[in-house]
Amino acid sequence: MPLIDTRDFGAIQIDPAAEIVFPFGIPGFDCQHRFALLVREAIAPVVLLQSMDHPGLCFLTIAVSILDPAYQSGIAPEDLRTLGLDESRQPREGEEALYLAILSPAGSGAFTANLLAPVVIHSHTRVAVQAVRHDRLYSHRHPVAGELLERLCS
Amino acid sequence: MLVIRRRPGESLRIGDNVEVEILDIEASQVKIGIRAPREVIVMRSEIYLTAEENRSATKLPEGAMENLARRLRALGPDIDCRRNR
Repeated sequence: MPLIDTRDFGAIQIDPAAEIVFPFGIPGFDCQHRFALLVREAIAPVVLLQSMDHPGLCFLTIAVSILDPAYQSGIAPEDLRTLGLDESRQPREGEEALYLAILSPAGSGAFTANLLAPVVIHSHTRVAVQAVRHDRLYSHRHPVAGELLERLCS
Repeated sequence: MLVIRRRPGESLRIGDNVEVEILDIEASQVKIGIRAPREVIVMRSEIYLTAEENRSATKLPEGAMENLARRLRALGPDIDCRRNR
């Protein structure tokens, strides 16, 4: 199994299936393509998105469905094309694609989640994009309920 | 905010090097063409917001990563995402 260096967790072994690839990077980190998706019960519902090339680059994410069970998918056709998914309809979450929202610190232990631009991962190919919506239905700073973050703060 | 009325085919300039042309108008959408030097970064506002938010997402408060690392170590040295699918 591949071994990757991380600043915060030391050297860790990852399953090859945990590797995801962003063909175009993500906004602000356009040259970062390879990440590992680290899902562990011990830190749930937080999921780590750890760069495989830069040990210090790690994002905290939470599944969009946990943050907003009624979230309406709004992936643009160009992003569906990058993902290799049908451009004529939105993917079925959980089956065809995984949706994660990146968390940002908002001071005093609070966090917000970017629901304007979820990270969308093709379930089988593990190709990913940060799919920035064209509409303004969702905020880039959606408040995250404190009880979801207990494991970050204690 | 400066407001300028333009029709399709008409354009405006921003500084000496940037030209913005209105290409087409539909019911709820405007198609815009932009001519700018390569060094001028042009992007949708939502992408700009997301880039800023992503940069801020990497500046995590002290303690948060330590808590996560402690919790992960408590379950063993390896992190294997497949076990928890």
